[in-house]
Amino acid sequence: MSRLPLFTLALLAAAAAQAQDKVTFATNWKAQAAHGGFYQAVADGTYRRHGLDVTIQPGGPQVNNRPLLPAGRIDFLMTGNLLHSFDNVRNGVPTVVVAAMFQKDPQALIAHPGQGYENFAALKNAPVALIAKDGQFSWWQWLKAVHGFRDEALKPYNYNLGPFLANPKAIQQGYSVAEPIYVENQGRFKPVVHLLADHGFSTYSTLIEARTETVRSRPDLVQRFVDASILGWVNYLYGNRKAANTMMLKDNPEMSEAEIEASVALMKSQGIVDSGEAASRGVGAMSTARIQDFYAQMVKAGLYKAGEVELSRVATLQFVNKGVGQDLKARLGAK
Amino acid sequence: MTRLLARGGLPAATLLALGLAWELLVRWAEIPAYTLPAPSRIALTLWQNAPSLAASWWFTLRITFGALALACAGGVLIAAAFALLPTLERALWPVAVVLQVTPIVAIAPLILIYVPSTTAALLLCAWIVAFFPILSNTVIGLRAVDANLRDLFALYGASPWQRLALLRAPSALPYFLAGLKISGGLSLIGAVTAEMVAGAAGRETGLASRILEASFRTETPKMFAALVLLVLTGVLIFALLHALSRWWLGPWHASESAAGP
Amino acid sequence: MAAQAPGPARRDGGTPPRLALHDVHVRFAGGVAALAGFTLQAGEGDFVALLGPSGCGKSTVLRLLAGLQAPSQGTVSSPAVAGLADTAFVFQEPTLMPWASVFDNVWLPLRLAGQSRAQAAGRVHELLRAVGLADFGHAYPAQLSGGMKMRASIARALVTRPAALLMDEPFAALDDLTRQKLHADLLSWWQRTRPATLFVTHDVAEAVMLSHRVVVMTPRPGRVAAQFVVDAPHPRPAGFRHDARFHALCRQVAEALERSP
Repeated sequence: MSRLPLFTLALLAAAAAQAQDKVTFATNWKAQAAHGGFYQAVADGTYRRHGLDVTIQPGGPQVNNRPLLPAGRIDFLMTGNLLHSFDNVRNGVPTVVVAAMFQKDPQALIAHPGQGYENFAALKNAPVALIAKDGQFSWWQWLKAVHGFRDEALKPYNYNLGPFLANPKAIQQGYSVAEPIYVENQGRFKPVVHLLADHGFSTYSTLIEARTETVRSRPDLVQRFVDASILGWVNYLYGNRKAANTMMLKDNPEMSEAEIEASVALMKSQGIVDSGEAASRGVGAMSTARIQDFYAQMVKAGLYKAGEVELSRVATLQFVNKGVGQDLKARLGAK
Repeated sequence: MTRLLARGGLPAATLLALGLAWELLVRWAEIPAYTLPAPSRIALTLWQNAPSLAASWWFTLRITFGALALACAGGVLIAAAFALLPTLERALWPVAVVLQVTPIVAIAPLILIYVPSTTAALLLCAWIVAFFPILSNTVIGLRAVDANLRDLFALYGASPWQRLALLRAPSALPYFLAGLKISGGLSLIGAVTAEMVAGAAGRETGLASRILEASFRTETPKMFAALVLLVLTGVLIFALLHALSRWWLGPWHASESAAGP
Repeated sequence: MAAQAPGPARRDGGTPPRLALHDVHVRFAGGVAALAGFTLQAGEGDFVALLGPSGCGKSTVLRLLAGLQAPSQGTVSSPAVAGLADTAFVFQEPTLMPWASVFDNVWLPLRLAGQSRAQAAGRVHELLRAVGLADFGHAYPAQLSGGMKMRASIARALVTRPAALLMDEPFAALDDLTRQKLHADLLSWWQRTRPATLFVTHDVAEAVMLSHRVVVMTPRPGRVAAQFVVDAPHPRPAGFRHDARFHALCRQVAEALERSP
């Protein structure tokens, strides 16, 4: 066998290794299990194999990464629900959703057990509802309009469990795959968890947003990032996530490995990532119908006016629904 | 009246010119509204959202002036108490200083947790920020009494109350007013900071919450509109307090009676 | 015109003098002695001038009589020391309350004694008329000339018909013409109630012009060096300033001043 093809291959590989696209991806919180797939793709080299040199820029309690995307300071942005995208389109901000990593929004309300909050309808009568700024201006408005919650109960949530733990009658927001674990660790009780998604808040979550300009001029880059991220999630959920966890613990030392693993278990049992459309079409799947349905619900809730948002500009389906990661999942023997 | 116009003429013209430059820059560079809105866009947004912005403005005004009034009352009363009871002053002065130097950004969330009413919590935060200049200036003023006048009062057998009311209080007035001018701006800052940091929302909300809300919903023109109202409030407070100082001190104090600009 | 050795000067039968210092020593904290064995008396109807070089302790004498200071040694007796608010003091500065009108300034001693504005109005206006400030009741001190301010200060001093009047170089800061006018006016006002008066000055001519008796002090530490009775009608006739007796006495006093150890 001539050494030429081997040599050419080596050259190509070297060239490919050098032609890595530098990409910054900003998340919406400190590193946690709900970001696991992205950290996985960095830690196990999936991004690198797709020609991407990805830097993850975490968010945090007082950090708002969203303006960075239209300003060109980051390349991709993680957002928590479609409401942000509706707002962007309404205000003419040139960004678009390219993938939806979570089929279910883990946004939830948690309460003390044995206080009558086992029934979702009882939550609206809670004397104190601890909601953070981001939620106050988005899904809380939906809770008020559709489920009868009142502003009188609203108190600002500053990501401190203290007030909730101290007041048995209080309820607060949280991610169904995160806060209950912390509450159990600190408060030594299992809280009641009500997923908003189970009561009509049907948005996708952990969306990947990009500038429309990037989608138009560098679709290949976007496709590679989406594909690698999807593979990252499959590997994270069903494969060996040690390296990813270590990376996340470095970014957020306040977490523990046990908490991360508990969170992953919850993500799987609640079907956050890999249910519905994603089960058949792969992680990150989106459908126009579901976006339209969610918008219609928000219109009914009074958050938007009918026709105010051009839905075709909210998301593009060109990068997902291709079954990426399905065979990997099968190979990992996923359940 | 013409003098008033002449005095206001140059600043007004400057502001107008800056506004024009801003408008032209945005149009020429085609800066999108969600990054930097043009003044015309901001004005339009103000107009379109007038009712809701006005309600928030009213709330912020109430908190600001409420806190300022309480800061006056608190600052003056505590200063008078310190003047009459020097031991009290020695004992409590460190407390006042601690309150002053603790960043409101850090304690506002705590106050909002422990105080049941949001409005009361915001008032308290703004008060903490605003009261110290009034207190410290008034304390200094109450001490800055002309020595001969003090001897005169002693000679005529003035009681401590007479001394406080007829000699020390008027002597302290220019100092108090200087502190008041500082505290006017601070009470606005305190009210806004408290609301921003603690993220109060719901019914009891002022302009700071509207700015936050607009920021979270990427409605930048509305952010700027609310900001314009805040700036106007600050200017209003400044003008009011300066007019008050001029009226009160005008006939007799060097700071106001000297031929001004 | 006769020079007299230091000693008590009694005008009436057995009533003790209103103002008296007997062998008074005043030592300050650093060990500096202001007065060393100072003795002086003045009764009702006495106008005594206290003359001495700078730093001889003249002002300390007044402060002792005003009860503002206590002697290190010796006795001081005066209405103020006895606890009566019956002493008036005129400082070198007019020492008017700048925030109050001329009326309010003259009203002050009566006000501190408990008289309302209405009750005191008559007396205050009487004094304002007497000192030539009848039209300036509503004016503020900042609007008055130096001489007018001093008149207001004297009006305030006389408003209570004081038993004792202490004056600390009140005309030192005024120009010659104003000062001479005030000399004549002061004596005519003084005639009405004739309080025991101690007038401190460093001006020989002023001392001779105004007083029944001139007391010359030694430099620090102060004690009485010499006393001179001014043997001339009181108040002075017109043109007394050009009188030979005036000049002679001035010369005598000046010599005593220069000679004093």
